[in-house]
Amino acid sequence: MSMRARAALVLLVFTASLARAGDAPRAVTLAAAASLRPVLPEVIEAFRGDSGAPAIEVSYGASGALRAQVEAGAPIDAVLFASPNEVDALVAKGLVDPSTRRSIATNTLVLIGPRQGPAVRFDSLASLPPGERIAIGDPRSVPAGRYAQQALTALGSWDALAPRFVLGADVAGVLAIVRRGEAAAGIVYETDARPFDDVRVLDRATGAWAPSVELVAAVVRGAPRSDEAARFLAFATSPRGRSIFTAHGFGPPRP
Amino acid sequence: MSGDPLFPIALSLRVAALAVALVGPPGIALAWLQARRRYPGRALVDALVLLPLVLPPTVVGYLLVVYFGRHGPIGRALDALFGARVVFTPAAAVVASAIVALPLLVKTAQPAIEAVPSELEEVGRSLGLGPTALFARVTLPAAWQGVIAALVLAFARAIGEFGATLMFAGNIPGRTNTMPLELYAAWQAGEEGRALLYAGVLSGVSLAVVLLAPRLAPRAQAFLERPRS
Amino acid sequence: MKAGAAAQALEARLELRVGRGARAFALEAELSLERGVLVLFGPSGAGKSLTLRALAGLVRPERGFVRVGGESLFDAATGADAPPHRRGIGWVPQRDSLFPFCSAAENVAFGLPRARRRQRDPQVRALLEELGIAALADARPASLSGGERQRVALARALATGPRLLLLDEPFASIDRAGRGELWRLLRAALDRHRAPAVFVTHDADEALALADRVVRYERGRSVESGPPERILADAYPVSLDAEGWEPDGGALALRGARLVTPGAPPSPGRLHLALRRPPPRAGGSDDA
Repeated sequence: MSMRARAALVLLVFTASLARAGDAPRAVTLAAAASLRPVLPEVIEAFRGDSGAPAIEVSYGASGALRAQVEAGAPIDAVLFASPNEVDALVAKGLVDPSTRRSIATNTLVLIGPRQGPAVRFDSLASLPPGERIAIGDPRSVPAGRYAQQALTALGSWDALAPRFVLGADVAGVLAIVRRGEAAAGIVYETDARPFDDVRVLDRATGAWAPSVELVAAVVRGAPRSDEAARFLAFATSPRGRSIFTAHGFGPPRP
Repeated sequence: MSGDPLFPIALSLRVAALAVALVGPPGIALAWLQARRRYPGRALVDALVLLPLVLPPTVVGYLLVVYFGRHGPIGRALDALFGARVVFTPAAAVVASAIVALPLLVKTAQPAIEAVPSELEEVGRSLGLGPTALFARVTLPAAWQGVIAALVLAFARAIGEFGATLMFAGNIPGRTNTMPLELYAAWQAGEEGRALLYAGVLSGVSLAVVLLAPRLAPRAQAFLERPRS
Repeated sequence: MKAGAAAQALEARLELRVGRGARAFALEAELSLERGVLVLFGPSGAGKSLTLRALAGLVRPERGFVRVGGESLFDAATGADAPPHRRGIGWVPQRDSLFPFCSAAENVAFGLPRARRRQRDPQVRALLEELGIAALADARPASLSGGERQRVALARALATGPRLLLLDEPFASIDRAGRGELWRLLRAALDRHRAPAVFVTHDADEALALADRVVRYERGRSVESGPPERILADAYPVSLDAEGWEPDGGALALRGARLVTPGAPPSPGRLHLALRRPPPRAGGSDDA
């Protein structure tokens, strides 16, 4: 066979195998906000251990990015986002089943800083030396960033602090920036800061100005494994599931 | 937080232009060195120049943050000597772009300089031109089309830099949010219009470069100047 | 720039080696020129071009010296070695060497100080006219013929008033018909500018036309040196002189012709003819 014919045959077989791979039965796929990374594996393991359920794969990222992927038709069975906004956007587009929409946990916004850094609070951020940066998620696509904007706007310091912000692509990005010491402060969820000892929590957002952080989930309409996904979400909000969330520092779901 | 949509365009153009200005003169000098001189370690320099081209941009960004960051050796020195911090500044964006543009610049300019016939340089020397005058008045003009192509390609690479820029310069609206960064952020935020705008501008730049650079290759130049008897 | 009349135009002794192992080439040459044109004559690969490169400072000899116009440009014993751009030696290579990004006039003015390069310098103008290319002043090299380009190259080398001119087979790619005119122009220009020159060729006619002195090369060594008629006698084994000549049908009739010793200086008042033996096939010139 000539070189060209051989190459064409290889290409044909390869493409065919890709198509086949798409049809093959795959695991249940969830799209989850990065802040769920510490807790979700344990919930999944508890769920599977209990009911002998099939494998569940999770794709973590910023809720905005994941929402965009669902809109683009990525093979996702259910979403778990860090704020209602992204889920409701998908409901509005008819991409998720509104009857499966539920609150799965709540969280608290915290101000973190490098272990050796200056001790500031939410309401004293303006006292940071000039040139010091504050890391937040991009409010356009990261719920943690939006919550940060809500909090600082409520405190009246958003505009004044605007030049200091470095935007992380997701909460993990914000954490990375603060852990390296490249920013004097960062705003993430309480559940994110716990595992690391090179950052410390400087302040918790509790008070009239503090936003309420709600994690919301829903099943994607017409997804191949939607039934199993719905069962998983039900487990996550069961007392057993809730206890795992609480153990990791999350608050109870909103009723 | 979306801000002025035109700012990232202006910023990207500025950053890319500064990156090329930063890396241009040393890059062309390096291309001349590699083209005209044999010296011990020449192969090693060749490999080092090529490295940013093959390294994933995230690795480049990571290394930049490690060395120039607050706790890095160079970053600490800069802070101690000048009170200057590089990370998360527009300068960092320029540096990241310059580093990834360097290999393209050198590797495109080098063959153009090699193609300059030695007769031209020998005559130049006989006419009294010392080494710098020879380079400026003979070598560069004789290789100018290849050198311009090298600068154009470097600009295109610089303006498209994303991975290293995101890690080293960060996404700071109004300061370091270049077009590639803004494109990604807009896509994440579901702002299709903005994403499309920057994708369009960046594609336009790339298209212009792809059409322009081959016309300026040394082969084209030699063809145009062939003797007509 | 030129030394006093008493100093020799050129005095040099060169010993150098290039390449390694099987491709090593050893050159050993001794040159001396009082004034005028010195022709380096010999087959290709004999080391003539290498000699020129050593004189220009483009190659460094292992032993020897180079003195131009009485000034020492290179001396292995003392370590003196002037770089090429400070030797004041003009260079006209064999291959096309005009700067393609300049016009003919800009090429000629290239070696001049910046102030003179700007305006339409009268000396540049005069040089162009001298070599018959004034009309081509603004032309680009790519649009010039081979002969025209070499004229520009010559003008360019002369413009800086060099104390020695080196020409490496500059007319090798010009056809026979055009070469005669170029020899005439070259000699006239060299005489007018009082520029001594070293000219490399493997063409005996060219050597005879231009040389005041010839050095013959063989396999990397200068083996003979002297007046052209003597050195080139091998190429011209039959010499005649005659009172005069007349056409005779399609032929030529000589009056009072007699054979003379090849290489002997011509007798005054008599017609001198040197009859050329066709050169050997290998490494010879282009005409049979």
